[in-house]
Amino acid sequence: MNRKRLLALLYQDIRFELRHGMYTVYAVLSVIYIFLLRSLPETIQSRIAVILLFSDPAVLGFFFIGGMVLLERKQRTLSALACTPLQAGEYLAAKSISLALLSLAACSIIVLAGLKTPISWGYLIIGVLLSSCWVTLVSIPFSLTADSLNDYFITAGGALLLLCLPLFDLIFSLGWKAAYLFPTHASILLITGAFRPISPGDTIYGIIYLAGASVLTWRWAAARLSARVLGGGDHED
Amino acid sequence: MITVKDLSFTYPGSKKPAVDGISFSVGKGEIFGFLGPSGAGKSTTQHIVIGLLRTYKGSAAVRDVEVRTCTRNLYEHIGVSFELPNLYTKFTALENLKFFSALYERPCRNPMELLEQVGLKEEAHKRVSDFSKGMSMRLNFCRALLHDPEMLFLDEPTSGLDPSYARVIKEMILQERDRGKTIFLTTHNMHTADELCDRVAFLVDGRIALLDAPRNIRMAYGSSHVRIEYRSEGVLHQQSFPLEGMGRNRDLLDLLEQEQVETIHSQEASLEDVFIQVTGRTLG
Ligand SMILES: Nc1ncnc2c1ncn2[C@@H]1O[C@H](COP(=O)(O)OP(=O)(O)OP(=O)(O)O)[C@@H](O)[C@H]1O
Ligand SMILES: [Mg+2]
Repeated sequence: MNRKRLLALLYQDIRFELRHGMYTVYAVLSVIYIFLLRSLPETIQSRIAVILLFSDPAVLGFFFIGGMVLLERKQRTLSALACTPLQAGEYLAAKSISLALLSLAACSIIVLAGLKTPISWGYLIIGVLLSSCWVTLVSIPFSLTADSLNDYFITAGGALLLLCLPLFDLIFSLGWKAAYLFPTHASILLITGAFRPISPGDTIYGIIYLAGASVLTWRWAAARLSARVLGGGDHED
Repeated sequence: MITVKDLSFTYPGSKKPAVDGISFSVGKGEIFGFLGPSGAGKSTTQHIVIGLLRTYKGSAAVRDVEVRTCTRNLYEHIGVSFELPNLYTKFTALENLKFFSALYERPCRNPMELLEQVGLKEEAHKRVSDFSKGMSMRLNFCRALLHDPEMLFLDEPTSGLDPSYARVIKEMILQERDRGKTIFLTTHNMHTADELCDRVAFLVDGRIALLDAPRNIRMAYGSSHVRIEYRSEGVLHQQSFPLEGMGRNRDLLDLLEQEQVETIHSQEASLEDVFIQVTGRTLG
């Protein structure tokens, strides 16, 4: 991983997101979320907040990364990047970091403006950043092969919907043990930790499981990117 | 600099190979051209040689490294332009070049100077989405030169350009060659091949039908003639005579003596004539 290239691509990705209106979409949605939260009675406010804050990196991240990669394919800039020394890891890192920071900014604003109760920021920051990175990495391989935005929503959306099963556990308080197998459950636990204490075991599980899932997904995404776009040779001399 | 041997490639799901057992090599400081009709396999060959299609059979080596095993570092040394523009459309020309410059370790050229050379200085701060195809192609060309690479791979570098800008790009390609750069280009324009290439390969259906210097090809295959236009009794006539043994050709000498000659042109076969003769196909 080369720092100069990573920073250059990160700066490019942030401007790309900005110019393609992603920040605008985020701003509008955040305002809606804030009004929604403020209109809720305090008894259910924090539970709804967990769902909203989880869906922010997860669902919006899924839309944005798909849109971004498909735009890059349409403008053929991915093939341009393939003919530079850029490595798969730098590409994945720039996408993950730019979208994770965007998600964290949006979540922070939603919490600050939408809720009166104090929260533990450590959980929110770690939960949102890790969830966002993981969703970005899961979505990239689908966006590289999808024939259209529709195709992407069906394939990647379908996969993500399956992976989001633990959301039902949260909504209906099922106490479903198998939920622990899903990285999304780890996301939800960590974000929940921002609003009420969770056990040290859940904290450790959440961080390690989500980080581990992100590492594995990273490897998969890097291999797909390398094979589909970079022609296979994904390392420096 | 480039050595290709028995190279074959078939796209997944396709029955017919796109590249079918070709061999050639390109030396340092040479402009080597692939001339062939649409679908001949020119772009496919370029894609293989620049390391983007690695499931080929045979051998393709660039800078003495088999491209199947080459690393991302290869791209510090080669500059590539594809047949279609691939640029960030919501970014200006200058922003595009500055971004790509930042991806290289080696020092890059001044983007503004490159833009000036291809006539895009005034448009440097315009977004690419407002560019015509020709403008985008010129910007694409600048990007290939940006990091001053030792080798250039140019897929149809003058397609979509009006004659005056095609001229500019050709001059720049020749300049690069004179600076010792090795250049591989593809084209289906015989004039481009003739003017630029030190050697040219005729490619048809994934196979090389002929490979030599354009001049040698024209000489070997084209029979040379002189065409004379003359006026006799107020009517314009024209007649052709073989160049060889011209000074002893009685008919020709009589004609020169007796008629009022208006024009004399020597004629040789064009690359396209030879292409049709050798491959039985047109370049269209
Ligand atoms: N991605 C692909 N998948 C399957 N077949 C392909 C693909 N790209 C090209 N081909 C086929 O391979 C053959 C060679 O195509 P290629 O693009 O290399 O030709 P070309 O000489 O560059 O033509 P052109 O002058 O039109 O650019 C054609 O028959 C084409 O249909
Ligand atoms: Mg082509």
